[in-house]
Amino acid sequence: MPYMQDEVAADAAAVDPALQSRRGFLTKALMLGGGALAASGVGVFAGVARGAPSVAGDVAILNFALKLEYLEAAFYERAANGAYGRLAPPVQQLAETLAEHEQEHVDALVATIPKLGGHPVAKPGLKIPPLDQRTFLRTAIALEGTGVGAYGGAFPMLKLEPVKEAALAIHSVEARHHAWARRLAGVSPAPDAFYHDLTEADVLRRAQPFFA
Amino acid sequence: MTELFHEDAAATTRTAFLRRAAVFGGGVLAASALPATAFAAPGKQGDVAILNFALTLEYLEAAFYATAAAKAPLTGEVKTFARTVAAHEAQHVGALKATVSKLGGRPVAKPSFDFGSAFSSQSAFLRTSTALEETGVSAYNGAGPSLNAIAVKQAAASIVAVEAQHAAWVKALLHEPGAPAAFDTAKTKAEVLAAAGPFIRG
Repeated sequence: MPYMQDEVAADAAAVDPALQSRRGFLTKALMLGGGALAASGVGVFAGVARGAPSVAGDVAILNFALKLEYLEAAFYERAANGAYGRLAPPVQQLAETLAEHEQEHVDALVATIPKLGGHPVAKPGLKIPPLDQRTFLRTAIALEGTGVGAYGGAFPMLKLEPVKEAALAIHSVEARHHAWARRLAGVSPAPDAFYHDLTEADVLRRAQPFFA
Repeated sequence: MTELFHEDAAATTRTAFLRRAAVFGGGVLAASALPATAFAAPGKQGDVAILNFALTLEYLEAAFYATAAAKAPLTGEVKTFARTVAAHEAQHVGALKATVSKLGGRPVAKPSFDFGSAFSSQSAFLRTSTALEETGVSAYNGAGPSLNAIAVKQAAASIVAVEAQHAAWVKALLHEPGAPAAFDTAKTKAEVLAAAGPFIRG
């Protein structure tokens, strides 16, 4: 893969959280999206984020993370199984690896939430539009960037030590995914010295279009 | 509260193992061998100690990449990688020094380093780079839960994400998967010192 291709770079930049742009595919998806998530996961997260850390807050944050992980897992599982057409071998490898990782994240969160006295949210209905390899990579960059920002933003709000450890163990893997997808799309894997955590509103805007 | 996390029945599959590793902490071993706060007591002084430890690692990385970008026989994307990461690590150094001072601490002085033959070839550079980046990610992940101030936690999260991006990038340059596992590990301070120590002269 050539390292830098301007056209792809511009497209990927359009969906990358670090660049705060609203162009391209994600913007279109966003305009089609409803407000479903606001009433459920994100609203809870907002209340938690403003309060002092608590076990209940950890549960709410983990359930919010679980929704995102369900989305990512389904997205890559479809990609790995050919839903977005034939992918070049390095892109196929990314899709297969991330499908496994995100499912392991789902499993870990589903197992953890009851240990904190909570109930894992049900797998949400998902609305993933038709994609090809190029738009698959752009969407992967957007989703992974959202994941990094969501875990990074939630980490300071967590109460329990093991939950903090788990969040960090996932957070940096999402950042690896992000860099990996960026490189395959032909843009710099590490565009900035600091990763700017997403606000709740950013996460909402980026994830919402994918929930049915 | 750790009793909330007592294990279920034996989990023998790899997935179950990884799940436990993440849920019970990147450091099950660390948790049993050490008090919960493996790095330092939580609080302002604890944050300063952790940030100074991170600063030493960032000095090390910054020196490594600055020297590599100037002296090592690097070409193409590997050269771009070295230059990019050199700039990032220098910014991490600056941010950590400023934060330590803001917390009322005194930033540690920059040690001197010895990278041996790491700059003799592109492959030697990449091997040392991947070791340093993996150490960086696991060091921040290990120290993170012991941090106290929200602003310091935010800073650590914003840095470790970039270290993980570097780690994935150099793995790609080595033709390895950028993310080898679903959960990253955490290192204790002693483990980080064992990994980074050989490069530090004092």
